[in-house]
Amino acid sequence: MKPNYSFYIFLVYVSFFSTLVPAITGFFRIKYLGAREKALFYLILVSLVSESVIFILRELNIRNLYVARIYDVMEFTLISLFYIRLFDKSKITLYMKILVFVFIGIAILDFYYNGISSMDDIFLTTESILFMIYSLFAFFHLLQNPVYDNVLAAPLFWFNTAILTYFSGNLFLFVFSNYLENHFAKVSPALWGIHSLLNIVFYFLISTGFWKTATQRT
Amino acid sequence: MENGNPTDIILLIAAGCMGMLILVVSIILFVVYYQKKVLAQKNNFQRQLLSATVDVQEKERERIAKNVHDDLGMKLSVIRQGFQKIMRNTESKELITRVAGENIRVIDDSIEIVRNVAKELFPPGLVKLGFTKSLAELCKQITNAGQLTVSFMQGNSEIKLPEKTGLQLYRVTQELLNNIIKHSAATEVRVDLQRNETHTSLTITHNGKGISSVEINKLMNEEKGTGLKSLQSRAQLINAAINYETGNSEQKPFIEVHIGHEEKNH
Repeated sequence: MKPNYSFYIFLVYVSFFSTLVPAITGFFRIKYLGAREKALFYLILVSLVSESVIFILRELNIRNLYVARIYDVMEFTLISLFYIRLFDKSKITLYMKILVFVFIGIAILDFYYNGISSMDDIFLTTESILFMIYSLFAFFHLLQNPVYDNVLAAPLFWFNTAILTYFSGNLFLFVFSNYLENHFAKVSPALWGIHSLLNIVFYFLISTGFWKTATQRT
Repeated sequence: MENGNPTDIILLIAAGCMGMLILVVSIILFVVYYQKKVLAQKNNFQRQLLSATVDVQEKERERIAKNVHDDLGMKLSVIRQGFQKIMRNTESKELITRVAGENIRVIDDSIEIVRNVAKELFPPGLVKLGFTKSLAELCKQITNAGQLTVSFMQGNSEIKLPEKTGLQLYRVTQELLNNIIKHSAATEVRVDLQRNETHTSLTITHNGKGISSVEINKLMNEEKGTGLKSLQSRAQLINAAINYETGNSEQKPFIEVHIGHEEKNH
């Protein structure tokens, strides 16, 4: 029996439209967004544009993987910027800044040697592990510097939860992405359905973070 | 694996993703739980500080009321009796002169009592002399009392602090010196006041028995640590941190009060 992937494909569409939620929330909360939060707002805008391009190219049956790869580099830069601004008084930001340039350099070299139309599983896996570490540090920072009476009122909690959930959940997918794409292409919609589900959760949590930026500090 | 069942592949990857998500949810729940626990501890500590402050205030009021009642009340009664004596013997010029002279002396004593009470309520030197000179004066007064020698050192020529900060830091220093006199058996104390662009620090070094911040925290958690809680409460009012060091063979025990300058931090 041929597997039915219509539900996963449906998730891909929901994921695409869910990008609008944080974009709209961020737009309404723009005056409350600090430099740190703006990095994530720009990420959402970049995500909205790239998802739209991917969506259109998919409908036109044109390969769109290179758009995702350009997006991955921008995503890495903007999320790194978010954490650099969070830890701005710490010496660790110097290493974070160096890592941004190293990653961009590796991505450009990879485009040059391996072409732009294949999955860069090493880049995505390393990025995921790195952001998982950053987000754990951020939770530690949040507990060490309790600005809010309730942690659920802190936008940082929601942004960090979004990043940790997205990159942890997708880690296995990213590790095996190239392998699966090459050897099990037919199960790809189902696996990217999981990715879409995590995307929806990510956008929902980021929207909550944007919404909470208007919360008064105690 | 290339001949594997696609459904198995999906399940395997999905299980991996699910495992990671369970781990993430556990971390998030821990963060929420831990923050609530820390917050509850912080609130409890704030309640204890408030209670200690109220206790100290009540004790201070009780002491002032006692001074006013016992000393000033008695003096005023003596003055009243003197006037009654004069009223009963208006013709005896000698008695009037003697009683009036006695009353003047008692009135002078009463003025001194009022002055002392006012001084205890708010050190007049703080407004007239400024914080640094008042602190130097306090050290001199303790030295003059004879129990121990307190020397005062300052880095800059004049350290100006906002009135509220100056008063609280003066009270904190007073209480710390009082504790050193009562508990450390020190004979020499040095009060060192320094200020730079980011903070003001007051270091009290002595040659007696020191106490560590850990021991202080332990004492503060006990019922009897009212004075320490009051100290902590005053320190919090001016955004100051107090650090207690027991000292070692090379370093004498010391207490450091560190105040960050808000205008530089924001």
